[in-house]
Amino acid sequence: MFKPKFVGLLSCSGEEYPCGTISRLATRKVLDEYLKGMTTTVCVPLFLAGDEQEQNFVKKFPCITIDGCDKACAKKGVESIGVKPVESIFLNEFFNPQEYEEIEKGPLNDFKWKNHEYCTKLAEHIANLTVKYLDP
Amino acid sequence: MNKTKVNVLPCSGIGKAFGTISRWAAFEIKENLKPENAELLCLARLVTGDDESVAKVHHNYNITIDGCSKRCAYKHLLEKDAEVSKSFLVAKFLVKNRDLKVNTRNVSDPGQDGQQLAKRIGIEISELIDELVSVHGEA
Repeated sequence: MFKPKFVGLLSCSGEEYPCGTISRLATRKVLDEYLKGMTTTVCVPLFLAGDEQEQNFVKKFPCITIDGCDKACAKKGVESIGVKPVESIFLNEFFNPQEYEEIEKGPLNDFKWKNHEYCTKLAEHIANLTVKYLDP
Repeated sequence: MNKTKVNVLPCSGIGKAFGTISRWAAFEIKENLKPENAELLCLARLVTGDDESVAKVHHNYNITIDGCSKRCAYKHLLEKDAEVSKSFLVAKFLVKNRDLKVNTRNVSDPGQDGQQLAKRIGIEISELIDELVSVHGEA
């Protein structure tokens, strides 16, 4: 099985929902701390707009989508160019109902969530899925 | 129909500190400065053609805050045939606020000065929101 040096992480940024904030922060944590140099990100709106560089990356490397809600913008975006994400994470499935409700009722801004245990938990999950697809 | 709401669309820019600042500015507006009049919209959701989001950009005023020159927020609104009341670019605020030393290397946290810049952007845009709603909207 082909194992690349990079895995792409496509996160929903969900400006309307705190789940978008947590998705984005957890993804950045993986990019900057947990798997620095082995992961890269694709700006979802830019990708959805048909940006050639972003779309070529998605076609070439395995990608993991992280969606804050069941609208699944990131996953649908990848699928729209005929690519299947190697993993798709949905926050409403990943967190238990109490945790998810707490997030939904929380603030939109980063400051509460940045070092919150939920953000760390999600980042660890993304990182654990990512390493399965990396060249050892 | 009179408009009383202003959509604020930051770029999602997950790869750049200016994307983070555009989001922080939008959150400052929605959570602290203009919670009644401002609406935030998910840019990706709009781009996918979500009916509710498309309806909102046609029924409300729209202001975009873009982190880079690709100007995704602005261009996507135009693609949806929505009217853009004003389009902002974070870099232009940086030029006007040179007393701030924003840490552009840290994407997820551009530092205290990044927060300060986001607040200043928020204040300027809030003034525009007041103007739009008072001049063109319901009394």
